[in-house]
Amino acid sequence: MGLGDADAQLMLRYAAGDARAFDELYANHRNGLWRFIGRSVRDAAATDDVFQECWSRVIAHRENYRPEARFATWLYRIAHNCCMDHWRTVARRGARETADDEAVAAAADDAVAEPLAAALAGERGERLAAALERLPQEQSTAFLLYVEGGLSVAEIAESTGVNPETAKSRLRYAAAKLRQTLGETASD
Amino acid sequence: MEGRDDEAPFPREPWQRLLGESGNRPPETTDARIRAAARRALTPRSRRWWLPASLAASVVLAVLIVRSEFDTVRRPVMTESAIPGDSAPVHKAAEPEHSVLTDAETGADVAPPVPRVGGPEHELRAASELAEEVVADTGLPASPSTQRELAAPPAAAAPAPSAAAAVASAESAEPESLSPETWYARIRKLFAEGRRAEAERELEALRRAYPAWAEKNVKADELR
Repeated sequence: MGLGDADAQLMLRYAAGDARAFDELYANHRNGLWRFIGRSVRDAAATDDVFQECWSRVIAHRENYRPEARFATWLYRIAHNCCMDHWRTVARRGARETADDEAVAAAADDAVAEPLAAALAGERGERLAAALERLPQEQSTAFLLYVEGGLSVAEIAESTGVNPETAKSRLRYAAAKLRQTLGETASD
Repeated sequence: MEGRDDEAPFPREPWQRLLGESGNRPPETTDARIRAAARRALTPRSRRWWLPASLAASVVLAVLIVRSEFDTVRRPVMTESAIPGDSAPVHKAAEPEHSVLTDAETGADVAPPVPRVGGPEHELRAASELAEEVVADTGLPASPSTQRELAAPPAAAAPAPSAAAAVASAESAEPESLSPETWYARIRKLFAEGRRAEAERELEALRRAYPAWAEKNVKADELR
C-alpha cells in the first residue's frame, strides 16, 4: 500500500470519528501544502488564510470523501480551488493569465539575465522560491502540483481544467526556466 | 511522493529536496487552529437543542400574532352587521340606507331604494313605517298603515332584529323626537303595561304636538 492509499485510509478513519487520524494526515501534508499555497498565492498574509480554508474544506467534506483517487490528488485539487478563489478575490488572476506558454519561452532568456536577490543570498531553496515567483501562474501551479502534490500530468490537467498536453507543456516550460535560473542545480 | 504516470516530464525528487530546503512551514498557531477545528467537527451537536426550540417558538408566536390580528379586524364588522342600530338613535335607523341594508340582508327582490328627496318629513314617514313593524312584532293593535304593511309580502318586511332595535330606541328616546305613529304605539304600550299616569301624560303631549293626527287616529276608549 503506497503513501497515497495510507492517506486515504487515514481520511476514512477521520471521517469515522478518529481525531488522531487527522493529526497524522495533517502532519503528512502540512509542509508540502503550505509551500504549494504560499508559492501559488505569493502573499505571506494570504497564504495562512488560504491554507486554513483548504483544511476547513477537507474537514467539512470528510463525510463525502471517497477514496476513488489518491488523497493527495483530492487535497491538492481543493488547495488549487482555494487559490483560484483567492485570485478571483484579489483580481490578480487576469494579470497573471496573460502570458501563454510561447510567451514564457520567449521570456526565458530575460529571466536568466535578471539578477535574483535570493540567488545572491546563496540559499538554493530560497533561490528556487524566488525563481518560482517569477514564473507565470499557470506554470508555477502545474509545477507545484507535480512536485509538492505528487499529481500526475493527467491529474494536473484535470485539476486545472486543461488538456494533458497543455499541462505537460507548462511543466516543461516551468522546469526549463527554473533550471536556467538555478544554473542546472536541480536537474543534477 | 512518487510519480505514477509513465510520461513524467522530469523527476520530482531533486525539486522536492530543493523546495524542502527553504524551510517554509505553517506557524504553530495555524497548526493548532486547524487541529482544533478538526476535533470540534467530530463533537456531536447535541447541544444545539435550542435551535429547533427557538424555531418552534417563533412559529407559535407568529401564529398567535396573526390570529389576534384577525380577531381585532373581524370583531367590529361582526358587531355592525349582527346588531344594526343597537345603540343608534331612531332617526338613524329610519334612514334609507338602513332599508337598503335590510333588503340586502333578507335577500328580497324589492324595488331599488327611493332616493332621499325630503328632509324631516321623509324621515318621519320612514320612522313611522318602522314603528308599525314594531307594533306588529309586539302584538299590539295595528294601525291601518300597519295592517297594510302586514298584508304586504313577507319579503318586504324588515328583519326582526331591526324592529327590536327600533322598539328599544323608541322607548328610550324623547317623545317629541318620535313620529306620531311611533309615539302613539309607545303610549298604547304604556297603557297595556298599566302605567296609566305616564300614558295619560304622554297622550296629552301627543295631542298638543300633533292635534290633527291625534284627532283622526287616537281612540281614547280603546286605550282605556
